[in-house]
Amino acid sequence: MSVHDHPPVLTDEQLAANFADIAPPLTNDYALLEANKCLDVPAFIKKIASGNLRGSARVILEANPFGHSCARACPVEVLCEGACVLNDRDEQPIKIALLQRHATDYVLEHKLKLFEPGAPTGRTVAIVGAGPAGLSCARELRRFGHAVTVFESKSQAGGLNTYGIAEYKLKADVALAEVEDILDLGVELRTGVTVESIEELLTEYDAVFVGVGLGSTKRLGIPGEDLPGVIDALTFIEHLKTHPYRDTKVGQRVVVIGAGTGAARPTCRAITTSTSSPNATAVDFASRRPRSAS
Amino acid sequence: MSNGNGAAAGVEVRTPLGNEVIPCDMVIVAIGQGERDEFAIPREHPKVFVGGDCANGGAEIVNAAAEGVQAAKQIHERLTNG
Repeated sequence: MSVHDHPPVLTDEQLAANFADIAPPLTNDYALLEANKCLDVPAFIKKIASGNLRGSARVILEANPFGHSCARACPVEVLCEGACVLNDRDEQPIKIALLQRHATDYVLEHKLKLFEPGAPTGRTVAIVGAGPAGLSCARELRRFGHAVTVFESKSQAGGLNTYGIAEYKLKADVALAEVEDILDLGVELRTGVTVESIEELLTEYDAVFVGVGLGSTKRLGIPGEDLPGVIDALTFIEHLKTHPYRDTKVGQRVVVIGAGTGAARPTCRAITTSTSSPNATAVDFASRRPRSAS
Repeated sequence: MSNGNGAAAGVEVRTPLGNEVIPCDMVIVAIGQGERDEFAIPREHPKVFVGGDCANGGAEIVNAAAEGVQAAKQIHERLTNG
């Protein structure tokens, strides 16, 4: 049988599906979500240029309730600064993150209140998880005037901003100040409370928002991973962020498995800069991906 | 692999040149978070809204914040217009 008279393997529908648009168009909801994610970068930078730091911060924080922490922790080199037109001219991109930090720090430093709660509506919403998603939702609901109760299993709010982001990017006190700014709108926060059933909350509240994040570090599935001396990066980073630096114990020679920017690299950096070990500490990445400069 | 005291003493890795043991006294596992399984989220319930890492599988703060803001608008719409 020659290649030309080969019987068709795929149906017409399958064939059409295989050649379909690789990036389907946005739904209305998704387009709105994407559009709202966008800060009006030129607007906030122009306001800084004219000395209006409060107005600049307002543009940032109106679009993004976590504008403080994003200015510090977001991978701007692949987001806004990566998209800066100056890159095309072989020039350094505008320092958008540092400008954003400049404007939002001003707000925290002067304890400016840029937003107010709306007139009470009598409606109640429960939020599970006091991380960036839950508290962003809480802030907007308060501005609409709805009563908001946030349930958080940990002793402090902020989610990974408080407990999981590399110390050199975002310190817990900045994360907590940002949280406080949102709670000041009249959000009821219940920490140390673990919600066990969403259905139960639905009997008490008019709506429930769930922003519980992800769980603990994945299992490697190899022998020995439960031996003493093996810990996961999130536990390590959380300990470092919630104790005096010297209290986080580090081995003489540490192997970090993984090479991500979220946990592995900050962990390596924390170990190499740690002062708890009297001797130099070596760190190896054991990763399936090739090692690259950090 | 462990030492005589039962603590971690090395990590065996596969390399293009064969298996190799990297000696160490501490291993930190940084391979990403798994999904939560403490409770079932009734995602299809009309009064339940979901956002952040548990909805998007793990992304940046800016994504979590945007999803929280967007959910607040949808909740407001639901509470106002039923």
